[in-house]
Amino acid sequence: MQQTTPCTPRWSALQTAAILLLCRLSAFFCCPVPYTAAYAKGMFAAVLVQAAMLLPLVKLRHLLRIPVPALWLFRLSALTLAAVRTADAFRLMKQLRCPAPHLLPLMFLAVLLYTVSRPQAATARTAVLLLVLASAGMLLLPVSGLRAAHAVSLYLPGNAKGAFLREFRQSAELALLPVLLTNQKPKEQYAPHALTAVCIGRGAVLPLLVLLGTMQNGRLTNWQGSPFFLLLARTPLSDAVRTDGFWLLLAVGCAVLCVTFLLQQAIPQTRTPALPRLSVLLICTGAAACFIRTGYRGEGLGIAAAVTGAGLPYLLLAVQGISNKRAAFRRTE
Amino acid sequence: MRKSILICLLGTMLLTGCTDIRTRKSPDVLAIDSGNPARTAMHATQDDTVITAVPSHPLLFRTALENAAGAEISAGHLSLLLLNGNPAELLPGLLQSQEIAPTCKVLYVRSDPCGLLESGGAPTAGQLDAAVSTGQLPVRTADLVYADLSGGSGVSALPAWQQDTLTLALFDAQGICSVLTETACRGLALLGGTYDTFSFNADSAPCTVRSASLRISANSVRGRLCFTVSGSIRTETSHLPAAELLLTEMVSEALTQTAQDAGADLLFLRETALRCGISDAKTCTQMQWRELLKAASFRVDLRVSV
Repeated sequence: MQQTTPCTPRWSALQTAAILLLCRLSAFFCCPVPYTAAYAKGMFAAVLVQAAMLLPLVKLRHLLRIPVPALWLFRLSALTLAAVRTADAFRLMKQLRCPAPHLLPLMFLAVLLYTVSRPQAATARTAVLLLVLASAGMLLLPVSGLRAAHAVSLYLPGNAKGAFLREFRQSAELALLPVLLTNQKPKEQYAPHALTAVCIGRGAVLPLLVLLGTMQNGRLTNWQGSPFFLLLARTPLSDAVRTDGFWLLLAVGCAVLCVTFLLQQAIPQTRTPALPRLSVLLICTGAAACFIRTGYRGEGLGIAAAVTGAGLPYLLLAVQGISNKRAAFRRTE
Repeated sequence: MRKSILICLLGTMLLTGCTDIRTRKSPDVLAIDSGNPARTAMHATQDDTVITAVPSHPLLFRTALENAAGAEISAGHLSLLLLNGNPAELLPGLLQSQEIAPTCKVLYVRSDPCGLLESGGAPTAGQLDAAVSTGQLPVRTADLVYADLSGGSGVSALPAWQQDTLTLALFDAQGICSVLTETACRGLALLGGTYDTFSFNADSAPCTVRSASLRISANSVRGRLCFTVSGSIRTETSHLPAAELLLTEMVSEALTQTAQDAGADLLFLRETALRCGISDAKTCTQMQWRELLKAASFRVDLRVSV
């Protein structure tokens, strides 16, 4: 079996965790499903299942060698996910009535063009910075929002099963985790730390935010648009949806970073010439435009990517184990 | 490389001027008359003028005002919306299209809101804020009004300007149902708990609520719902029995005039019933919930102390 070794710059635990958390955060900002207690419950259950699937990978990552066909599968999924996330970001900007919405895709493209040309280390460093900003903002949310919250809203009916599946759909970036894990700095403690941070961030912070949003948004369950920005609009700190510059910029920043990261994973090598890089970008833009036009939100693709991302490494390890045993058997013969 | 980025950044900054500020008007008060023909008026903060227009549909107020003003209209900082007609037809459209901010204050005027704005007789957003902070009215911003319309029993309440006083009007998809009395409004404000000070006259002596901890619970007796408001209120008064009587009357009136008479669920009664394990509240339609509320009984059990 032809095997490959990582050729991209190695990331620390914090950088890996920041990238994965921001990708999830980007999908969270764009998700139009209203918050309910069942949403938080389903989300938490999905994170528990994902953690149970992913944490054993930390122990097994030294044994994992990703073959070239599997690597291409990861790249293809990264490219498609980048297109889905671009479409989501565009929908969010349009829904938030950003000024001059037609110029935004052009700006988005320009930023992507610049960031894709930069080394991956720059993306990782930006991710850490954005994560710090997002954390600071989220710390302020409960402080400002609790006064207007109604705990009785937690009894609003909801669909936990739908939330469970949605969490898998929006965690499609985890499909790239095997590549990231084999791409970390060669220190033993880094990978467990990164995964623990991702699990805590997604399992504790986001469901709590959904619960706060449920108490704050209350009966506004048929609101068309991002419930997160509705929550912001209804917290005493912010005045109106459209003037909440910090969160809007953060949402756009997260989307750009998420798409950049996915495109960087989709590009074959670090030192790829400009033309293939540009063609990857153009394919992503074209696919995103198709998704916007057709209203596709990556439903089936996301679930398939997340499940494959968590399951494929085990499959690869099993195949590797079988082929190693066969080779050993042949040698003894 | 860094130098070139810096030059590009500075160049971009020089080219980015806020020219649209000069051509944009931000109204602080907007009036929409959904009569036939529809009319709209806005008070522009920049030059302190009132601009009026005749839109082909009330929801197309922005285009009409832009044509009349010769400027782009940005209603993001709107602090008060005056409207008449059926709020259930206008408010959801305005909110879903994000023409107004969710926390914008809304005021119902029985007739000619544009004329009221033009004559300067309309109450200000500050007056509404003061009514909320002194416990005369509960908080009823556009999002809360819309939330009760789409959830609960489909009956909502919004502040109304009637005979030069602020009150609350109940409405559903068909239009305005009733107008609440001052006592019921105060009861709703007390139950909502969003006031800063809550004072009233108890038997010719001033009484101020220092703190209130109220809770609503529900139970079902032979298929009939029963809601109980219980809790304790600490007051500053020299006439405790009179204060207790008045506070109980305020809460009772609020429940009677909203839930029992109109079937309005403004106090999360449906969610309270769900919390208390009443399964009917989960499955019934808005209309069925309204009928259940009308048939329900309400009990007030307050402990008022000094």
